[in-house]
Amino acid sequence: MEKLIDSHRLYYKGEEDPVVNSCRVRLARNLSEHYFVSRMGIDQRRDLLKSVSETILAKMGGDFRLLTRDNTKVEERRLLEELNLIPEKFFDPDGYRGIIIGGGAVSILINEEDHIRIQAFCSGKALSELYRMALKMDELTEGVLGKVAFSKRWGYLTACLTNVGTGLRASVMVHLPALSLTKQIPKLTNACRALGYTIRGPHGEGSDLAGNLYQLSNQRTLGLSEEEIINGVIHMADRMGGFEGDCRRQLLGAMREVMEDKVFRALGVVNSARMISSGEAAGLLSAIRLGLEWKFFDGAPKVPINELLDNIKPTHLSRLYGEKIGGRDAAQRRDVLRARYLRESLKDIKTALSN
Amino acid sequence: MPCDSCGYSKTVANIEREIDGKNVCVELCERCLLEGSPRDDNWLRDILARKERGDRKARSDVCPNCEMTEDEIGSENRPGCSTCYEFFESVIEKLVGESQQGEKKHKGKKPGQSV
Repeated sequence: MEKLIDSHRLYYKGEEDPVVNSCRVRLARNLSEHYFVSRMGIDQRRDLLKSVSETILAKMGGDFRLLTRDNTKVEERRLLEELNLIPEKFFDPDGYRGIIIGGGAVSILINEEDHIRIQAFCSGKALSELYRMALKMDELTEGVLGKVAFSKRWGYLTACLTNVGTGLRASVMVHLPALSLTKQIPKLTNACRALGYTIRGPHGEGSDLAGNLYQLSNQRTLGLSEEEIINGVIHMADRMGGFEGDCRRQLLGAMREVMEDKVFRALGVVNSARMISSGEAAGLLSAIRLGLEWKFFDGAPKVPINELLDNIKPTHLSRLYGEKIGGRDAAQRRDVLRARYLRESLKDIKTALSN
Repeated sequence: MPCDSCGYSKTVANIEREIDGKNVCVELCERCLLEGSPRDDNWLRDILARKERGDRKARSDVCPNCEMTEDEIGSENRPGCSTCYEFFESVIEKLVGESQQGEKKHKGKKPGQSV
């Protein structure tokens, strides 16, 4: 299990980009002869999980395995959640849900909202490649699973109408510190929505905007081809990157000292603080990332910042330090370990400025 | 026991009556109860007769496959199965229009198509 998680974390590395953090593609599919998941009883879900996973694994072989509530420990499930491989409550009892995972970029969720959800992740920019990988998996599973729920008019039939048609959701996680600082996110959100895209905080609808990270995705899944959707999101992300880049340059021009102060304060906190909450950590990493971009710093983090963002999450920290953290002072203990971890990971970063 | 009038599985009432010298018990779902005339012996006779002939009048607002109702789909934006898409075509059309910014037809790939 650990090996699986580690190799997934190294996942597919796309092109590094000053704004695009990571990408994700998701395809929703259902089998036509079964009710959709929310309508299925426990027995039906259990049977479907068994038959679908056995069929897919027989075809895929290799390192692929099915993870369910029954064959994982609580900590392992939390790790999967922290990596955004599964949503919260995925492994709740009686859900009979599973994830097929093999250490590469692609995994398959069974009995989530749809019978099957094929998902692919990468760090950096590689949305087209992710789509190609997800598509290959789609062709493979379709070949062995039997009749897919599909109609000529509506396309792939999904449990929720917001996914019908291509069943394709393409998302890009973008780092927008300059646009956030200059309070342009609401304007950007409205402009995107008018064009058919949504921008959300890092964990979907209604979540915190911690660390200036936002998720850009297509709103429509119907009436467009898969290529149009993928290219549309790529294009939108490029435009957003352009706005962010312009805004960063303006900040550097007009407010240089303020930016230096912000960035170096962040480094100062990371170097000295003994307790850092996850909210604070996200903000500090955003500022440090900016400092690296602007070459205010020499040196590099010991681990890419994307991985740092995962590693400072509660269960990741527990695992890194081999500590079972619980009880009344758990939050405080995590804040202590988080501070230590960040201090260690960023200790090679030094000022490059002469003043 | 399913509704004796339409076959829908969620019943809310059973009506016991003596009709033609026999004690009968008629199970009814909410809709058939509200739209019918449960006090009218003739109405009950008609239901029992149709049931005997295997001729139940299925509700037009209930999916014959998964029993999702039109109201349920509307309130949650979620059909219950593939059949719902066809059975409730006009409701689906309206809801899809709302969810998908007016789009009405699939333009992407089909199953079995190599792209």
